Amino acid sequence: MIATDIPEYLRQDAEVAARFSRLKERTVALSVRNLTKHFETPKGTITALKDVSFDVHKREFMSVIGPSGCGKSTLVRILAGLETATEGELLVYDQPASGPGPDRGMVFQGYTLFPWLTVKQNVMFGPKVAGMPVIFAESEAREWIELVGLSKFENSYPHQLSGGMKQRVAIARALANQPRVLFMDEPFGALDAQTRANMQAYLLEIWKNVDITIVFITHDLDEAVFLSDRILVLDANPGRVNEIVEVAVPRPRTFTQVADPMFMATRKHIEHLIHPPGTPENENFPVLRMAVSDPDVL
Amino acid sequence: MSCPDFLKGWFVVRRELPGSRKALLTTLSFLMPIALWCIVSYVPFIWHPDIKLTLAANTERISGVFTAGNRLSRDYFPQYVEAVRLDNKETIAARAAGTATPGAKRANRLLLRQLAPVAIDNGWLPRGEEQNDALLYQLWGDLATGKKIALTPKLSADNLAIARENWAILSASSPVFESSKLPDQLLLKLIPQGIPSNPVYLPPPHEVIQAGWRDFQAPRVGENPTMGERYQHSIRIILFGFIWSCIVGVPLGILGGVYDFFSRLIGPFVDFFRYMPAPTFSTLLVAVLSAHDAPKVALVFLGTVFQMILIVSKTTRLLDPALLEAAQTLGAKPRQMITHVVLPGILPNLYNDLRILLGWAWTWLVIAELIGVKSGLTGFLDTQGTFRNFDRVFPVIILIGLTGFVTDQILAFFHGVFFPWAGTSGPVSRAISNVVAWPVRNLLQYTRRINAPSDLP
Amino acid sequence: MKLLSRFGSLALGLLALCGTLHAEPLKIAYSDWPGWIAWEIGVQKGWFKEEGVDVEFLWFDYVPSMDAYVAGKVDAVCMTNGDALVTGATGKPSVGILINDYSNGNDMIVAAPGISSIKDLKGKKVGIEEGFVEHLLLLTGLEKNGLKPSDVTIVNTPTGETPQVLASKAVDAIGAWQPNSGQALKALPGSKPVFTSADAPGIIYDLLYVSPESLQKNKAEWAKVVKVWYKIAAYMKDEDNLDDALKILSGRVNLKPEEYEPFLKGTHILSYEEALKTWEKADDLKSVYGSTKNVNAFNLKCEVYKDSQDAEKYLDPSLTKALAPAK
Repeated sequence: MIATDIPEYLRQDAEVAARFSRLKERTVALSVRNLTKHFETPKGTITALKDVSFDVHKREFMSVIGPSGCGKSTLVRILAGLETATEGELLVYDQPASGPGPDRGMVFQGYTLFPWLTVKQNVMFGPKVAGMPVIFAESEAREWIELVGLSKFENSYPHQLSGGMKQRVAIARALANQPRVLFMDEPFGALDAQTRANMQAYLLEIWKNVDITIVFITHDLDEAVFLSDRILVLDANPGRVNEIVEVAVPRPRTFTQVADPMFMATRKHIEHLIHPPGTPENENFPVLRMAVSDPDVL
Repeated sequence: MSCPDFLKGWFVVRRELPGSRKALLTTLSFLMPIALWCIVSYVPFIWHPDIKLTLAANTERISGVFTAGNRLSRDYFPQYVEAVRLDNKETIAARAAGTATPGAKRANRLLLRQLAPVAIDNGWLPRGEEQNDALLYQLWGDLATGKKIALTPKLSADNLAIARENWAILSASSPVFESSKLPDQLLLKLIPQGIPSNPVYLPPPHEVIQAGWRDFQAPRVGENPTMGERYQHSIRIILFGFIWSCIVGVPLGILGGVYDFFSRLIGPFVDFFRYMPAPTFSTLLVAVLSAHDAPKVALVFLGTVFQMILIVSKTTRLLDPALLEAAQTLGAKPRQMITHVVLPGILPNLYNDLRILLGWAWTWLVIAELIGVKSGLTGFLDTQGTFRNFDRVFPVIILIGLTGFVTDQILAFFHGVFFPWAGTSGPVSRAISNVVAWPVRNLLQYTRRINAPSDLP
Repeated sequence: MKLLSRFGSLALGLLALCGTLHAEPLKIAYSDWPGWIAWEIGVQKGWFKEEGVDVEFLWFDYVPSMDAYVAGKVDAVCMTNGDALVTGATGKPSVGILINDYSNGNDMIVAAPGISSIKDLKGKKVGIEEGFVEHLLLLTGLEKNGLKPSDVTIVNTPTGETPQVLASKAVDAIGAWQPNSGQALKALPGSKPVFTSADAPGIIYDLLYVSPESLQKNKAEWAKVVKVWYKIAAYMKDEDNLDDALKILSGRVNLKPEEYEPFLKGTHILSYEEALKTWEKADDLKSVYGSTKNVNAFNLKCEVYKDSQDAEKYLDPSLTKALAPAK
């Protein structure tokens, strides 16, 4: 159904629309209601998040994006249980959740692998502290390491691995606990462009093969559009929900789709949400007038 | 004004020098002070304000008994020589007048021993045989008749003449030494001789080496421990003091770093106690504990444990909090966070802290050993220092310094072996840790496999 | 955890067992006064074992030896009769069972060059261990020469450090006994003794003081110790033994025998007969009782302590007198 007054990015193919309706029928994995977070500082109370509400469905890939200072990291830390919300509630499969736990895995931006443990021991960590006998934990860990393709490195230490490999280990480590939701806080931010692209494709592969719901924090618009089903766009000062954008780009996603008009439209829309026109970031930089300009250059 | 070209390679701002230049500078770092020491000791016109006696005489005119090896200021030496000459003049006068001197036999016996240091230095008398009167008697004769000539040191012309005069009297009485046949009239004393030297607190390197060699080789004499035994005793005291410090300090430090509760509870008191100088407790410690080793170990303990608690707390607090958060999201319970994350995580830095604190504990060695019964290396240092035998003091000081230095270097190296992930490993330490880790890992896997339940897929 | 506690109790058990294997020897603290260095001859020649008495001689600096006695870490200590009163008044009484010697010149006030007599010390600084034997010597010297205690400034200095302190010219004179005073004379050539115990013979007697408890419990053992002492004294008086004795004595304090020999004059070791005479009660300095009473009066006057000490309580000649038939 094509209507001329619907913004382009919202025009969904039949297939895509069907997918979304199926998605919304699935159980709600993560339910956030009126989440508010205040910080006490010497200068007064700062509201980091105000009345954030959204749902994440089972097996969904949701990204969270927004301008700097919108509280993305605070939000994901509260969802993972590392911080407590001032108001509001958080339900994981209809059970209230507070405090960190293995049911909500977390992959950090700085990898935070345990440097004194090998790759295998890192991945085994969760099952081991849960009380699983070592021999079982080991075989579990081996499976996950194989999934992320690092079987050859299972006895290596983190300092011997590259950035991309470390992040794969971090993902394996979190997944070894078979969490219900996996939070990823800008996990590819510290990687170079090539590795980042590979990791994004890799992540989609993993997500396809593992029964997991992913909430992915990023500041990279392309990444968000490429990876996710829906994108939660936040506003800054205070952090609140701006819009939940459904990404109409069909799956499976490949890098060639980056030039697609649908992709571009979605991206542009999100960009406008984050940096509305007329705001200082959008203005052109003043032109520098120099006494002598080099005609060869431009 | 720019740097001359050949120096440019050596002085580059904030860039490490290549290996060969580093090695050269390290060697220079040790060689330069030694070279300076050698120059001041051996170049005769630099300093040398004293005279070191090579031949000493006893005289009642001056208070104080000087022996060979003692140092006198250049101003005092002539007074000393003059006093002995006056004694000899008196003796000659008494001889002429025919007056007898009581105790002459004993005095002459001691006078004969005046030759001992000269004999030892010339190699005619083994060290330790200073009271071998028979051999010395013979030497007097040999020197007087010219059969032996003293070279290092030479006997002055005056002294040769005195030797001949004395020998004339001695040989008339008996050709070999017999205590009963010593003359009843006083013999003439040899005039003191000396060489220019630095003051007693700066002995030349060869004297230090010789004294050190002698002392470290010396066998047991009665109740006095050998140098090796003293060294072991000193090391034992430091080690026990340090181990007790670790037993108390490390757990308290970790608790203080993990829980703010403990930090606030014990931190302020520890901070206060740390400033109380440990030696003030010495008499208290002797009163509470015995007079042997316990108060010394206790002093090292008191001097180290408070620093340790504070430093270990700080190190624990510096652990990356993200690691703790990661552990939480993986389901670790609070107790597991301490045993599985905090303890292994701080281990590299804790090891370094303990290495530095061991050096700190070493500095308490001397003060601790002075409590109660002086023992160990410091007992030796103290007596030798009071008697101003600094040539025997220096080797021990150097030994203490070397021990601390070498131990520290070895421990620093092993940091790379134990903690390959901490970034301090060179190729050698990595090789060692691989060699050790491989059998350990396989052993663990093997034991797990044989202990595994039989229904493992 | 279980392993640790099991190991711990085993260790404790072993320690306790070790403790009961040896009966406690008599612990005697001695220090570097020639009259007490003489004990070393008995130690090295094994005369205590021969006599059948189990003693352990512990070497200290003088004042720390008295500290160890007051703290109860040793059963006996070698002290001057004056210092026994001081430690008794301020902490722990003791009983003198044996007179080693009287000081005859080895305690001295050594003055820097330029000071020729004790009268010249007026207004000057003297480095001395406050409250103990050299302080007594100094005050005696001042009194005999018409000076008051306030005429000099005392700088509290451990006796072992007096040579360095004198050489560094931080003070104008020091008080010490041999071998420390000899070191001081060598350390500052040109210095000389301006007042010695030879100028006031009898003010300093040196004894072996035993704790009353130990004396009561081990009287027979202490008698044997006294017997060994007189063996030592006799050995030293014989000229034939002189070289051997000097070797042992000088070795104990790291001196050469010829450096030690002059000390024999300045510390008059009492023979058995001389000792018996000194034990007779009288009021003059020839009697140890008289000397001790004299020091007590002196200490009270100079406010070293406040309560007068009874000389009789500090002295017990019975063990010495018991040797009479054998000697």
